[in-house]
Amino acid sequence: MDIIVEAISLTKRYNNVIAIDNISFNIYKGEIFSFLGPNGSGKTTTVEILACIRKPTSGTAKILGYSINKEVNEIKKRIGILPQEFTFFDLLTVKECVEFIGKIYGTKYDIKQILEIFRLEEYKNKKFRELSGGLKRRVGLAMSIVNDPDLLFLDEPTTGLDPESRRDVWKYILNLKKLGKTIFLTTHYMEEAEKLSDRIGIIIKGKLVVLDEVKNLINNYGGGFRLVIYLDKNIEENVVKILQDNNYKFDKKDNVIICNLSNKREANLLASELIRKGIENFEMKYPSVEDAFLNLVGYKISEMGELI
Amino acid sequence: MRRILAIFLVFLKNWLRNRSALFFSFIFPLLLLLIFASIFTSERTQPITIFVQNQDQETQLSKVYESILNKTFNVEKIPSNISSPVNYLKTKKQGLITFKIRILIIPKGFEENATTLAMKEAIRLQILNLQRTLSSPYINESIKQEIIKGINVLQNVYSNLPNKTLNIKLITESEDTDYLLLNSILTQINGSFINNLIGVNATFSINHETVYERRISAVDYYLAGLLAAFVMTNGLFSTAPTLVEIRVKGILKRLLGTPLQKHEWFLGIIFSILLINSILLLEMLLAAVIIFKAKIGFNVYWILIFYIGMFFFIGLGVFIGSMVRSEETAIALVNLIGFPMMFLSGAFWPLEIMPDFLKYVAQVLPLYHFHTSLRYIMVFGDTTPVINNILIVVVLSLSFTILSIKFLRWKET
Ligand SMILES: Nc1ncnc2c1ncn2[C@@H]1O[C@H](COP(=O)(O)OP(=O)(O)O)[C@@H](O)[C@H]1O
Ligand SMILES: [Mg+2]
Repeated sequence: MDIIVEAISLTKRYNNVIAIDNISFNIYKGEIFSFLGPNGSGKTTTVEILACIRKPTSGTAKILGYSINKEVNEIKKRIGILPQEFTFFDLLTVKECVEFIGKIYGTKYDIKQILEIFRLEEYKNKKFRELSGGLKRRVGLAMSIVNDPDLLFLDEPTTGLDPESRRDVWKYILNLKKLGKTIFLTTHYMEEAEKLSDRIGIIIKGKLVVLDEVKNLINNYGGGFRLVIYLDKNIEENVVKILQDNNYKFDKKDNVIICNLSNKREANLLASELIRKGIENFEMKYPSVEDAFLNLVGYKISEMGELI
Repeated sequence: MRRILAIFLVFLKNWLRNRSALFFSFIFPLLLLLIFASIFTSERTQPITIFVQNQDQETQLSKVYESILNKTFNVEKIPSNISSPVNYLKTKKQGLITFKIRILIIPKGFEENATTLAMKEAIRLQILNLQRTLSSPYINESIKQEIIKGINVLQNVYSNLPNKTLNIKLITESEDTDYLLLNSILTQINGSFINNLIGVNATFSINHETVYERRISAVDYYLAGLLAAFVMTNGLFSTAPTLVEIRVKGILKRLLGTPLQKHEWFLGIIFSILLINSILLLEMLLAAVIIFKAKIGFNVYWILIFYIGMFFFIGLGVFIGSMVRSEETAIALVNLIGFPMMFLSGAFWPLEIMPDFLKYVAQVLPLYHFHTSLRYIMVFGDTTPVINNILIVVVLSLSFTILSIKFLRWKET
């Protein structure tokens, strides 16, 4: 597999803050590689070092075979970037924004096609400041592929968007992957990392806690399947009886029973048993990246990106 | 070049699509020109100021003459060692609207001539007296002979005394509309001086010379003043807040992720302001020439100064934009620098109507040197009297351009 990014012992200090601490990883051709971590964990710092916007304090990296220390221009020609909280010149139209970046690269591009990919045709003459948050990100994505880059850096591409726009942006990111782009994505949304990534690196306080394929992360750290049963007085006894009769392990907390199961088959069996007894107020929980994260880190990440 | 052009166009579009920026860059200066130039076109009438150079230094009579002038005119003295009073005044005149070159020179030998005239007159009267005595029947022959001898001696003395005339030199601007008035007042003063004081019935002539001086009209004054002031605001306001905004909003980061180079970024910005100022210049010139019939010489030097001066303000703006952290601070700072400078430098109204201490304040403001040199060259086509102002502008522009290149942010640490 072609290595697109090879980060070797990257460290960055700002005065006394260590933003990233001796990080090494590879990104392979065609994958979506994500950094998942709360605010301040060093995601942006890593992206900006790899995109040659900042210099590392120590360590180095090769991007598409070029050194970030010596071949900055070669790298910049071949990458695209969507910075965190992307904004651009307010008074330029969508089309002008894309064309402006095009002129800076000086490479050939098909403006019609790019607008089409991101469904921006109908907005092409709208000023940037008149766009909704989701549309702004789409324009940012469009701008990031003008030079037909091999590698894309998407730094928190959906942060601050409402859930609907977020899903909308996901669609376009997956589309970019289909176009053969290698993508380095950062996020603090568990669901986003899980839905989009091939591999995820969990980064906390500048250190990579774990780095693996999504399914391995879930299998190794996500815990088993769970059935969550919501109780009311009438059924409580009934449910407890069923579980005890069948030797299921469970925790009861207030009006909720969480039952840990070893696999999907076992979960289905219990579910059908419950339905047969007329109990329908329950949920099947598959293990997710969120579970893996919780198990590994001991915290969740809030909507705002803070550890909780 | 392609990238510089791209940056240039973005800045230009950003500017031209911003209504308030458009108003303050192009419409506001034009309005001010229209208002100021029409209001101040009518001149005030005041005691006429004349500049007196007394070359007959330290003589009593010339001082008396001066004190008589002083009663009618507002007299300002030109030191007697100045060899070219005209050039002396041209230097003083720079930047002042109502200042007119009106020089009265009391020539060397003024007192001597006057006393000679008086002596000759006294002798002439004495001869007349003696001649009258001669015709008296009561005088005997021998006395008559003595008197005739005396008359002869006196006539001898009289004809040996040189024939002097009393005169002064008056130099005015050839387009001075008040010359006739000035001349008739002086003729009266001179007449009474020579008749009543010297007691001679002779002419006291005025040798009139003119110098060609293009008058600074109101439109001349305000054209240069407003051009300079708005080159300043364009330079400051289109750089500092914008650069901070670009940095704070993260637009700079987006650009840093492309192969764009620092010098392309810098030049793109500079060229956009250059064009904005060129449009301003063109628009103001057209208004001045068409509406106010301003006569502006197309001299390379003022065009050079116009463009060189702009770099000081752009440099200062870029410098501020690179140093401060918030857009509000940048706006506050450029306002703090721009507005007092506009009003105190004499760009908006002539310094001569301002209190004396403000005239000194003006001299330390870069804008003063900018509009003064710009105006002088625009109106008079000559750089010599304003060479110091020009030097200040050039040095400031150079320093701040270097400073801005050095401090312009083009990386993240
Ligand atoms: N320019 C900077 N100067 C000083 N500290 C910084 C700077 N940028 C980031 N940091 C610090 O470095 C750490 C990592 O920040 P960042 O890379 O932005 O994290 P993330 O993108 O994951 O939120 C944080 O503690 C942040 O405060
Ligand atoms: Mg970040």
